[in-house]
Amino acid sequence: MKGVTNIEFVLSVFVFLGTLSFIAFLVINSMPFYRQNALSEDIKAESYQISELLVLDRGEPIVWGKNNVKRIGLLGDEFYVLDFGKITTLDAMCKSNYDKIRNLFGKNDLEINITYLDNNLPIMSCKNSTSITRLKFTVTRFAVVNNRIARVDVSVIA
Amino acid sequence: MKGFVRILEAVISSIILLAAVSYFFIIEPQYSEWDVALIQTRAEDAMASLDNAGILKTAVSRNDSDMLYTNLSKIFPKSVNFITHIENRVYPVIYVSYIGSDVDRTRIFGSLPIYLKFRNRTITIYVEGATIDNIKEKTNVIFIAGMTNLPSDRAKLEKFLKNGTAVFLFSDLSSNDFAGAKDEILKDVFGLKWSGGSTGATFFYDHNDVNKTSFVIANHFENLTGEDRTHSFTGFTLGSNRIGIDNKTIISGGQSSFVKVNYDVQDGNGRTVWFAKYNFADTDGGNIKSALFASLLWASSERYDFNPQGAAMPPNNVPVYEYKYLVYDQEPYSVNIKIWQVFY
Repeated sequence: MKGVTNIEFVLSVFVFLGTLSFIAFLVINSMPFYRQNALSEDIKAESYQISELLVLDRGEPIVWGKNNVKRIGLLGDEFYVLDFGKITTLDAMCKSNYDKIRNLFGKNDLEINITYLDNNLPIMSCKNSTSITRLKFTVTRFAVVNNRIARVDVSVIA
Repeated sequence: MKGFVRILEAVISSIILLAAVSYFFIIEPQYSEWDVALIQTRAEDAMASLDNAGILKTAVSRNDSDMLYTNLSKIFPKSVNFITHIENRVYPVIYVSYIGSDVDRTRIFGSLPIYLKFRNRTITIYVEGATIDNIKEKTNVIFIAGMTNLPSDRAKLEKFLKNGTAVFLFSDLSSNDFAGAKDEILKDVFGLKWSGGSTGATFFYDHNDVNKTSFVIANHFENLTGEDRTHSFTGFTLGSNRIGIDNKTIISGGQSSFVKVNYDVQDGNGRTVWFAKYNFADTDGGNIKSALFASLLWASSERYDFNPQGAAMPPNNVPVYEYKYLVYDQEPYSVNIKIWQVFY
């Protein structure tokens, strides 16, 4: 009976392939979920990191300007007190060269908004001019600007 | 039949294989802790910002809990509730429930209420006669003159201590007091041990060590009197009250304590002070009485609520996050904030 496959073999192969494709289906199906989760965690961590840099770091060099900035930090001489001059510089840099700001903080798009808490008056706003409808996460921090409490919103867009 | 069995085997083995492997491919949504972490960060930001903007110190010094509450409400989202309390700061109004004879009460406190000038503010002390069974809820310190009923009142006193009410014992002690039930309460609640050591000139014990309560009470004494913390007290009865010295001694003479404190007596709460009786003629220019008031201020300042009336209290079945912020003012203290999510 050479060349004739017996029915047991055919069924076994069928069951084996069925099992294999089921597992493959499960793996492929779960990939987007895990990827989305990882991406979401990634932008959460990044926005928190940027907020920490802005609120609690003085930047490098400590008195940084438009042309010599290596790392952006808005902290002034006291803990949780932001330097208004640095905020103004960041605002100007963002309006003239948004890509430079983005590259200094990482690879993703970002938005930075600073407003006074008492009257919601904006102090600065930095964002990409094109409208974005991608995954976004915002971390809100609080610090002092000009002896008033200010709200610092940092959003990272994947 | 043989072939059918083999097929059945293959089916069964694949079911087992699938069942085993599928465990690793179940997608379980993981609860992200980011929201909790960010609320905690917000509490830290809030306290530091309010302090640096000058709002925190102003609100506390004016005793204006509404001011702090309004500002915190702007910082926290509506879905988060919070309460605050202050630790280690003398409350502007102290209520004392006095258990003892009226004669001694007049000798100790004089005319009432008492107004103390303390660090550019006025502390008011109200003293009311009471028994252990009619202590008012607002009482900060239970002041007991003499220790006649101390052992029988122990359970009630411990309940007050657990809730943060301080107990002040004003009494001379002899070796006879350190036996049986009296010994137990003196040892467990007040931290006192009879030592038999000698007595001598009385001073604030180790008053330069910032880790000791004697440092804090000596500070209070200096602020009340303008006297130096090295002041030598005259008026304690030397030769009696031979209570051992340890880190909680406030005033000592020779090898004995004359004033001693204890803290965290019940479940991390409760302060006690034992103050030896002194000569009421007060030949020390009122300084022993000032040391007594300094001890009273410390006893009453364990913690006080700093919330507007009707503020929500944390429910039992919800996780509550607590953050303690130290305020470096003329009189260092800490502000504790408890936060929890309304919809949990």
